[in-house]
Amino acid sequence: MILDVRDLRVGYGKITAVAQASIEVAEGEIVSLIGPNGAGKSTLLKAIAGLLPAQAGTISFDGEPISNRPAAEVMRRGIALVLEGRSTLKHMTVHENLVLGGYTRTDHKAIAADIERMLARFPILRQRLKQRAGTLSGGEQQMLVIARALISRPRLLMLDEPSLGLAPLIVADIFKIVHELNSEEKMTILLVEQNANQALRLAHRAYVIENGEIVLQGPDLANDARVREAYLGI
Amino acid sequence: MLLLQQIINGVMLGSSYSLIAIGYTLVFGVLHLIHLAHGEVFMVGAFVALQVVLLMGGGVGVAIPAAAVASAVLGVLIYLAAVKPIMARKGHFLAPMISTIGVGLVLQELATRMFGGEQVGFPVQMESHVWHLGGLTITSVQVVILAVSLGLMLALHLFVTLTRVGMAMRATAESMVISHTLGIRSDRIIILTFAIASALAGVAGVLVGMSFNSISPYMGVDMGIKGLAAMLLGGLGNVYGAMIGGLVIGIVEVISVGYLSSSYRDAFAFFVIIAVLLFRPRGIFGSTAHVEG
Ligand SMILES: Nc1ncnc2c1ncn2[C@@H]1O[C@H](COP(=O)(O)OP(=O)(O)O)[C@@H](O)[C@H]1O
Ligand SMILES: [Mg+2]
Repeated sequence: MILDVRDLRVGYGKITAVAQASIEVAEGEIVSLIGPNGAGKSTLLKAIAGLLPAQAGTISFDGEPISNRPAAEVMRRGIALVLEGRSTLKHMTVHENLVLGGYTRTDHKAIAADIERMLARFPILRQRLKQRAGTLSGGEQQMLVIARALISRPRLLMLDEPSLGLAPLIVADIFKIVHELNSEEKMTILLVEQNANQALRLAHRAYVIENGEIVLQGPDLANDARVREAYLGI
Repeated sequence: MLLLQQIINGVMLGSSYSLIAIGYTLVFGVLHLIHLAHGEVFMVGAFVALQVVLLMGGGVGVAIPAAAVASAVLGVLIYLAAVKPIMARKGHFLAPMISTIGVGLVLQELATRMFGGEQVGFPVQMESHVWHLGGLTITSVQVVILAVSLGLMLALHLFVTLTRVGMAMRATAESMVISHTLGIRSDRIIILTFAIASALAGVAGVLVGMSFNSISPYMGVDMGIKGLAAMLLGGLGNVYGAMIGGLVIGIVEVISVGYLSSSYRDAFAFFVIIAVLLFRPRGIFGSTAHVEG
């Protein structure tokens, strides 16, 4: 397992947002985490990324414990988190955002080549290169933050609701990109989504989180009666 | 012609305000802190330059680097000793600012003990050329002051736009959380920010000492307030706003002294602060959106 989260508890002051959560991600997998609003999905990702302290339990990455390490250090070990919302640096240009994607790397030529690859993959970003990221549309900003995360060459990419608030066509684009990253480049992905239908179709395995607890898991949740009723509306 | 001369004098004076205002705004950008010992960092820079020149001789070329280094070290120490531990306790949001007021008073007191409370002459002289262009008078001191301060502002601009560390500084000011997800170590960036902000203030200390030919342990108070006014005018956290804000305050100060009376010169900065807070709470130059974000 590249990521192994055991009995994790995370909270805000006296509020417990995630309780006793255990999830695993193996190299090369897409794992989806679905659940209603406020279930604790973002909290879980932020704790893995080191942005929130773990109150109990363990998180290991590549067999090494990473719980309660500073977020910048966790990121340097190869975990990239794309935050919920449009987490571009809005006052900085598209190009500067991409350059900062390579902040922890020192192989400058290879970074430039990676930026070039991203611009080939997301041609719209090339047209916007000198614009402030805040002037981009929601879909363009989402492409930008995904590209920025990829430039760090992560070993695990965590995406927090990448489709939120985007037009259906753009949503389809985003899911296609997630699929290609995994199938063509073997990227390991932990995907948080409210769009359960798409997220389950894309994933090798999935977890359902409710009220901070993992209530279901498995490779074929799309055919689970409870999931079909609660999340797929079938 | 008189007006043009006043504008030139005002730009010269204001460029030092700009250097101080940039420091306030850089620190505010990353920590949302009004660093109220920043004026004293400026004062200490001037006194260290004075001592170094008295001991070793030399001119501007010695005084400026000495002041920059001493102030940078002092600024970082202030952060580590009086700001960071207090922020870590997550008490009242005003506590770190109040701590910097205390540091400022201590520094004033120390400087008074060591150098006396009087103004002292500033020995960094240079061969003084005076050029007459039409009706305008420009001195070599003015040229040096302008060249140094504008040169530093240009260098800062290039640093924050062209280098990765400079970009990381802007990223930290915009969002510490996003910066962390990019692997940026904000603790180091904050220290660097204090070092740069304070070094600029130290250099301003030398430039002001040269132009008024004297320095005093209390010079940081007036200058601090003018720097604050310049930052407010430019918009909190906006580096380019601080540059322009300083120049505007310098020019208007010189003109108001020319047409009104020199006894109002220091009141003027307060007037600007009040007017900005009343009419343009976000500063005259653009948004402070990244401060809110
Ligand atoms: N900064 C915060 N302070 C206090 N409570 C929070 C904070 N962020 C989230 N919560 C609470 O934690 C719970 C889980 O939130 P979150 O992880 O954002 O859920 P999700 O991402 O699944 O929608 C919710 O009850 C939410 O109200
Ligand atoms: Mg969420």
